[in-house]
Amino acid sequence: MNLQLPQLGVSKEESAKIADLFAPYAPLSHDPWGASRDTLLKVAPFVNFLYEKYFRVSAVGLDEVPEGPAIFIANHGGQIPIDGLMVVYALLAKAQKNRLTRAMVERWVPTLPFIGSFFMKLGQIVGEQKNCLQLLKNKQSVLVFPEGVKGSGKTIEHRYQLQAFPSGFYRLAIEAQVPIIPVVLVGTEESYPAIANFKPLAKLLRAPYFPITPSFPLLGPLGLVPVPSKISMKFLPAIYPELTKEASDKEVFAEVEKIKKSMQAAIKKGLKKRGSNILQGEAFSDS
Amino acid sequence: MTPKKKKILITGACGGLACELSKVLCDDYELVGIDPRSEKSDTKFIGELHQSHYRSRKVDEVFRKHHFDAFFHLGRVPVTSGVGRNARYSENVLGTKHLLDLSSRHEIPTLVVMSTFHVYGAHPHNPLYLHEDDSLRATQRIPELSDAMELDHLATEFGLTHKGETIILRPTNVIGRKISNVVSQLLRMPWLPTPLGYDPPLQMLHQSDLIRAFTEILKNPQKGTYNLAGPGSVPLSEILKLKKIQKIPVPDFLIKSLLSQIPAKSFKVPTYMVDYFKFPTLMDNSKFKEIYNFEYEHSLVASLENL
Repeated sequence: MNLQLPQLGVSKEESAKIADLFAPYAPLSHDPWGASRDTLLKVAPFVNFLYEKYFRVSAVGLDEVPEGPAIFIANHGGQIPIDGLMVVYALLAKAQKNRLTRAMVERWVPTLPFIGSFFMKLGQIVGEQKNCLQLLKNKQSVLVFPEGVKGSGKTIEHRYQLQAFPSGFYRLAIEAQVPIIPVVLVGTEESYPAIANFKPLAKLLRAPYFPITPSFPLLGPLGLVPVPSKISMKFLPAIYPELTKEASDKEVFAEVEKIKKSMQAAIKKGLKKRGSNILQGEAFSDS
Repeated sequence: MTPKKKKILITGACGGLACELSKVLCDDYELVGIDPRSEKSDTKFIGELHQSHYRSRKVDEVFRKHHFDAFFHLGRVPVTSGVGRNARYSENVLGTKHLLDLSSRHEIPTLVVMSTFHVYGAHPHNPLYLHEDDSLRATQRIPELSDAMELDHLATEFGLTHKGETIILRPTNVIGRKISNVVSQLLRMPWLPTPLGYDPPLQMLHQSDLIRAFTEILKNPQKGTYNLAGPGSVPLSEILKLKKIQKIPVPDFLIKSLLSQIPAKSFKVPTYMVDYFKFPTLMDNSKFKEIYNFEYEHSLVASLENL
């Protein structure tokens, strides 16, 4: 029997690209925001397996992403932040001109033993406006999910319906004078298809939601294994905010709404192209 | 005839930092020191030394006798000293108030007050990098630091009305051969209990760089509050690896009692230090670097090697 085990390895080029990001901080192996080269290199093979083999991610427009600091905004779904992991990894290891993009974590994450430190070493930071601004002014990029937990906690019947976008990311882009780069993802919502949110248990656990999926909690821990849906992502053209700091909320919200509509349209188009084949269907093409 | 030397008053004169500072300044300045403690055998203050509490009338006499051109208030009794809470408050808060009043009365043109980065508090909600105008939230979790907070507030308030230049420094962990603060002492130990599951980045400032910062201030004092964060940050685990210190990860609920049992000579590890080994308290020090055109000479690795 010819049993082929999945390849976990990251190519030498990709490892070197990740390591190169830390060259300016030598002899330290950490950047000033707590990200660790060694931790990233240790985790990379596993994430690479998820990216290449498990979710078979395709990233359209990745190499057209302009260089320099930017705010990436993406649609959120699928209960756990696989979407964030895949976008960050695409920009870290797969982009020709790679970068470590900082995704935002909840304020309580640093209080958790192991997890708080681990996330920091992966380059993730607490989602505070001040932190984002500091990073952007230091030429770093951040990833924001404007929908927040309302997006990730959606049940399957609301999949790919963008929830309300607050204006924080747009104001941040004005303040830091950086572009906003929308990213749309298809395939993430099917990885954890929640059929219901068990609110009383979520409240008891102080969690934002408690998803019930066809396999969880029915199959116990096995039910936590995500569906290997194919993830397609597309980086939309960068948006350079034209409004000034003095712009009213109404003006800012109008711009935010435009961005949201363009993302929703791209998702709709992607879903149509993919069809019902969640395991293999490609949602976006280069054209 | 040689010109008359300028006079500088230094409190905390028997501490390692003040003694090192006196070595650097003694050729160009006439130095006067005050300290409630008596002089240690291994460190020596170069200059006229007065053993006195900061609230004492003896201090008034020192101010009357000398006309100081600058005053370095480095003397803050730390929690680690073993001095009781009342005595610490009396020295750090009431004593500082007394010294500030005298500085105002005698119109001392340059006043440098050494506060600490501990005033920001080790809080999980701290921004990634703390700036001078960020909230001081130490007492939200650590009531033992109320005197340090009040000292910082007193100096800030004084700076608003002081006709001269008041400079408040908030240095990070100062380390060096002659420094006997809690971090320097912990990093000299062969083993260290650390909070299990936490590995925050820490900043370190070498004593020589702090002394250079003092001398730069003397050249051209510019009022304000400044963070002094050292040249970078390193996770606690890497620091321990560099120092070849055996890390003993201990669960959160046990570490405070274990730390207080460390048989260290002449110091007691305050249990609040655990918070600073759990949550990052990183400072941004671009303001000081920009205004004083200052660069650190000792890299973080070199500072640790030279401990």
